[in-house]
Amino acid sequence: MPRQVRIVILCEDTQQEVFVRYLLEEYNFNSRKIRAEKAPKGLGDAQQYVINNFPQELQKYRSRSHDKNIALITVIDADELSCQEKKHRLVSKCKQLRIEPPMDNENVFIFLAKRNTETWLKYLENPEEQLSEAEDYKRLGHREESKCRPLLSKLAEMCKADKLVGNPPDSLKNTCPDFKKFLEKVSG
Amino acid sequence: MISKIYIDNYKCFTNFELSFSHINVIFGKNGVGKSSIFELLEKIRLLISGLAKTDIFLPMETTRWDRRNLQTFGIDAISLNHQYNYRIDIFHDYKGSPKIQSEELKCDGKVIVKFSKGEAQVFNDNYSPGPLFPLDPSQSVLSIISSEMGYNKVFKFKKILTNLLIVKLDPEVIFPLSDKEVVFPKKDMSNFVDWYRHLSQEHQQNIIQLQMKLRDVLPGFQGIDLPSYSPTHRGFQVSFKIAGLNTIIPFAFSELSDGQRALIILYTLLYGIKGLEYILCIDEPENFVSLEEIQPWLMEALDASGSDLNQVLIISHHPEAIDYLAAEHGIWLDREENGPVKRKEIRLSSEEPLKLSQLIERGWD
Repeated sequence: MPRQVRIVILCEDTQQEVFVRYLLEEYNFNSRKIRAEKAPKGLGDAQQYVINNFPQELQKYRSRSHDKNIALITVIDADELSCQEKKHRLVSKCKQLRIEPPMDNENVFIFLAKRNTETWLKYLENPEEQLSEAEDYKRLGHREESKCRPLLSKLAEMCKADKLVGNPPDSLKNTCPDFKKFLEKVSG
Repeated sequence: MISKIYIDNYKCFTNFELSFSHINVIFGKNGVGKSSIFELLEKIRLLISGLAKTDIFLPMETTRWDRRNLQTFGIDAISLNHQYNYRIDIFHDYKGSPKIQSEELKCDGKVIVKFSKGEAQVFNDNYSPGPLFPLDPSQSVLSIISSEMGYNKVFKFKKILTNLLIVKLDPEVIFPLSDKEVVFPKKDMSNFVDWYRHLSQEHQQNIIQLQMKLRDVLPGFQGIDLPSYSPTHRGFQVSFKIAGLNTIIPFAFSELSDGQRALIILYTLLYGIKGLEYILCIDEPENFVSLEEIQPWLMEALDASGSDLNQVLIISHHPEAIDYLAAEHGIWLDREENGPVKRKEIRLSSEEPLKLSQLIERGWD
């Protein structure tokens, strides 16, 4: 069938892209309907790219938002800030450019991992381990991004059952129910 | 996978080293040697597999401003349990065929193959030396190693390199009939139908998955058949449902557009060889493919690299490929006024409003 993108993922890097893409695939989203917009530089300032481009991607989404199946997913790590503070940066950027920040009825979802996506992956590798959201597990070593696929199957299973086993990071605990509601909106 | 290559005195490469990961996009201006890297890998594959001797290393391919007669190539590779370092020196005396001056393969730092002064030696898996034997210096020691000989470590390395699948596809040259099966396709995929015939016999599960994928990719796609035209000849038919008519029509491969043929081949390269430990080196995969189809293929190539395929190396000028892969997996090659090739670092500030591909487009890099 002709490719028609339904979900745009705005993210910092490939690890974040595949995290969301594989999770969506677990919810039966066809990867051909997904487009990734990644920061052009892998290290350091990728977050700023996401913040700078968020308002534009929001506008692009809004240009097609009459189609209820179209959505925007943004992925950004909280790092040393709180999730609320990092979200505020995205909202502020919109306000700075006089663009209305995302509204509740829009198909816009923000994945905000603390400290970063790797914290969530580390939890999924060993849910019983007590993790710190202050520690940077990204520094523990680079691996092939696609190797996380089984971990995303595990996450989808737990999210579907509304039960994150073991010691999930708070940021993930808060994300799962909201993501489920978001998917209901997009699929509905 | 191949983790590093070393090239000295070959075309525009002098004392040049390049590291790879499970997937890379290689990009840079015309004439910076991108395709030459794949050409060289293909020559080494042919030499090691025994399909060619040193006469494929042409004297005119030594670096034009370099007066040395010796070319050196090195390949570092990683298998599941071992690290390999391979090095070969080829001497050009401009009289007969070039001669291998020395060849050495190390596994985890220990020598397992050695050739110098016309004598070769292969080491057992426990690193104990085998007997010395004379060898024609126009052939690689590795070319005589087979799986039955018991040199498992040596054979594993040989397999990594003989599984290099180098592709620069040209849909116009694909022959639409098959008179035999081939286990390895040609670089331009002109014998794709012969190769597909082999895959459909030997790797049926992969072909089922491929056909399911093509239903997603090609509007109205129903399936691929290989109808028999004679006791030896098979055709290649692709069936499509026709919009507005409740009918399915089989089309010969030659009736498909270049783009449709390219998509079938591109997805065969990901699905047809799943799990067969290939390293896919593909030059400009986006040629012939419409814009919206480029990122989905790259996503699948990324997903396959390091799992279904050992490694994927892509040469591309296309903004989609550069913007999708270059940040973390880009290899940017550059030359100053036809001098030696160098790797250029990718540096972009957070305030840079242009994408990397846009900077390249404008020559502002």
